[in-house]
Amino acid sequence: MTTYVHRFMVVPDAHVATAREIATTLADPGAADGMWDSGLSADGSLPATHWVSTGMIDAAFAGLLGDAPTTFYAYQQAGGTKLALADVQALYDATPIGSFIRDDAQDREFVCLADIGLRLVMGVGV
Amino acid sequence: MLAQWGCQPVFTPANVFHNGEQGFHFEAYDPTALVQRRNLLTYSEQFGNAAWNKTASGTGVVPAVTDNYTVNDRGNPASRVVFDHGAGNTSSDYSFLYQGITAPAAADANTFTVRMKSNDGNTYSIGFGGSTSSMTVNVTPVWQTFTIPAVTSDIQLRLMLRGAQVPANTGTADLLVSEAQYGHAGDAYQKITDWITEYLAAALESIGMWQDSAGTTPVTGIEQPVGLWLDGKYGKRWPRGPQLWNDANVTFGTNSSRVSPGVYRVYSPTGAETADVNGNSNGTTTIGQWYEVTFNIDSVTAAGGGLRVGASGGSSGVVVAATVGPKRVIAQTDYAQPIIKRVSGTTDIQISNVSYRQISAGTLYHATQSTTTKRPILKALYNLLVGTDTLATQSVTTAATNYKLTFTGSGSVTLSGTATGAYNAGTYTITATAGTLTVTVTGTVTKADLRTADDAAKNMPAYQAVRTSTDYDYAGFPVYLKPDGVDDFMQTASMDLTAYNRRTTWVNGTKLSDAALGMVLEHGVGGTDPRAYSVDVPRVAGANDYGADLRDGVAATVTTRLLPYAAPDSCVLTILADYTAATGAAQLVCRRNGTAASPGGGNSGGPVSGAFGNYPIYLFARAGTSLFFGGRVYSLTDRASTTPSSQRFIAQMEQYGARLQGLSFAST
Repeated sequence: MTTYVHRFMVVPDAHVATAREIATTLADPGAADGMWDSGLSADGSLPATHWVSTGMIDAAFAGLLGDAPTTFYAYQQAGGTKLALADVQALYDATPIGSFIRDDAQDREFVCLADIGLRLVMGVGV
Repeated sequence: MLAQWGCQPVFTPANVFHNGEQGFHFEAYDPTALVQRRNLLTYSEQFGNAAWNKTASGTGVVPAVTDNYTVNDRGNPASRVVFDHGAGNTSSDYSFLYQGITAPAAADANTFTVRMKSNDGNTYSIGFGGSTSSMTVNVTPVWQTFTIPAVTSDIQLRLMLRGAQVPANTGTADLLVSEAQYGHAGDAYQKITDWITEYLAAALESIGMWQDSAGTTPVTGIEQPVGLWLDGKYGKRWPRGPQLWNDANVTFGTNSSRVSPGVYRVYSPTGAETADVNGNSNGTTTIGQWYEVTFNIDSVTAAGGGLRVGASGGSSGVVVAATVGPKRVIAQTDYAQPIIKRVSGTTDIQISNVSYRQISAGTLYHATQSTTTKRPILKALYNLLVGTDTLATQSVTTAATNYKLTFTGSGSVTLSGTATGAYNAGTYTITATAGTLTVTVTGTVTKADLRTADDAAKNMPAYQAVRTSTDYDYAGFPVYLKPDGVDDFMQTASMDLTAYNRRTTWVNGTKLSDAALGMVLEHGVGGTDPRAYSVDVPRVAGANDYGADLRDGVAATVTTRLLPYAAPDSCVLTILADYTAATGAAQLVCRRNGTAASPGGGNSGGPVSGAFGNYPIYLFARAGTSLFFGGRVYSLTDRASTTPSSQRFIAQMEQYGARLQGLSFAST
């Protein structure tokens, strides 16, 4: 059976398409649809400068993340063709492990966002 | 007073839906309710199965096994096993039946057990036990249970007839064998065929929560995601209906075919969908209903995109990966017949043993979340500290509220940051501000617990042992679903309430933050959909409130707000919505912990007219895109009706929620 681990992943807007392409290619069907669609900015107002996805992911998927060559090789093995290694490397360069990508953020998501100076972009009121 | 009804032990949420009212009941079920595995063997009553190896040596002959030959004295199936050690009579002449096991640790204190008798009136001396712990037992014409302790070098459970045994056997032994078990000493016998099948079936009947939206992996413990939350409005059981898959009626697309009775080839050589649909079968399914579908993938020649269950195409149904083995999914169908088909690409997969059965009767609104990172997590964590058995210095995040600190041991604790003070062993009330609290330990501090005063008032143990924030004891601690307030949400299929003008919603949870508006439930998107309805925790950012909104057109709104109830605040919030009431104030009424509370923030707007809409229910967010709720939910019940909820039902549900969460109040 699938086992899950928690990951907190913040991606700059310029790289969010790369992150989504990797996730939808590597994750199980449907499991990564809609990742990184909660917007972030310094003051919580639009436009979003970053996007956050935080929660449980398949442990096998998690094992492929964090290192550009590993991720890119797995991406190619899964049939991905849209990205180059440089795209993946640029994504990781922009998302430091330990601040933008964390495995210790469960129940501390807003503390972790504050650590990198970002706030959730709130929707309009009721 | 209504409290007199609140204590009736027979009440279940199903009671408030017994006249066909629409709605749902979601509950964070305790995973310890799962049937736990006691028997580590498989096919414990089918010794002819390949899980049991048959072999022989010397002049011995492989044992002949006939499954379901008869039943034992307890009514369980028994196999006939005929051993034959042949003409030879040395210890190397044997006939041998065994199943491999994982060698136990000494602390497991496991035993082997099997129930046997002779099938022909004779008594036989049979080797029985583990690969090391074997003993010789006399199997008589009377049913007996034989037990032997396992040792750490045992890697098999064996039954053996061999030569040179005392008393000596003739060449054959004709036995009836049943109830094989390997597990903890003293445990009652548990039938196991294929554990996955039985485990999942047990989970379905007892827990109603799955880690994935396809219902393949049940929630078996805390700190697991919840991707499928079963609507329990008809009770905490989801019985399955009659078998809808009938081999005789299965039809095929152009290339798919029957391999043999009950065995099918799902074949799409070109990847085309229209020519290669497979799987129509007996009877009809009801679009929108949920089905448990099990089958086996026997072989995969071309995986393609796997198999789609419960949908004719598109992105509906459940996609099953093309890997060999048993499969089981819970699928909401959009097709009027049972169906299994290929997803995409060149596909050549052989399947068999298909079962297709509806889950429960009536209209259920199970909540799902397919994106793994957006699933709430089942938790039962109340103690903010970690490593609590013997505490080390650490920092925790506090809210601006009171906390209860308890610990034992000869050491002391010094607080700094959001609270200050020095404490020896005992119980203390700590007033903290929002921010970081540092707990500095001197000496030996044991059994340390720091929880909010809000939680400390609940009926649960005074100490929660926490090793890490995701590894902790939770016996006696209420379990809850915890969306993260960032991107988590769940949703149901559209719930058509256009024939209903009254509604009661019970939100049994804990508000953990007032920083941003959070939607616990929304039926129709406010500001977009006519007749939208929502329950908001809080309703206004920073206002320490609860609220609800009821609309007729897109804009016309009745709003009610309760305040001040600053986070953290645990309660059972009851919202009574009634389009037929004469005034806006009467159209939305809030109760908190069993009392009709003064609105505080006031009712505004209205009256509005009409009935509720036909929309999906979104839990923990607006349309899955904004206004995320990040508190705890113990249960959530929504009841739509054409008559008002009785005061009796209102109170019963409030008390039901209070018991789940450990709250104590009277409903008036």
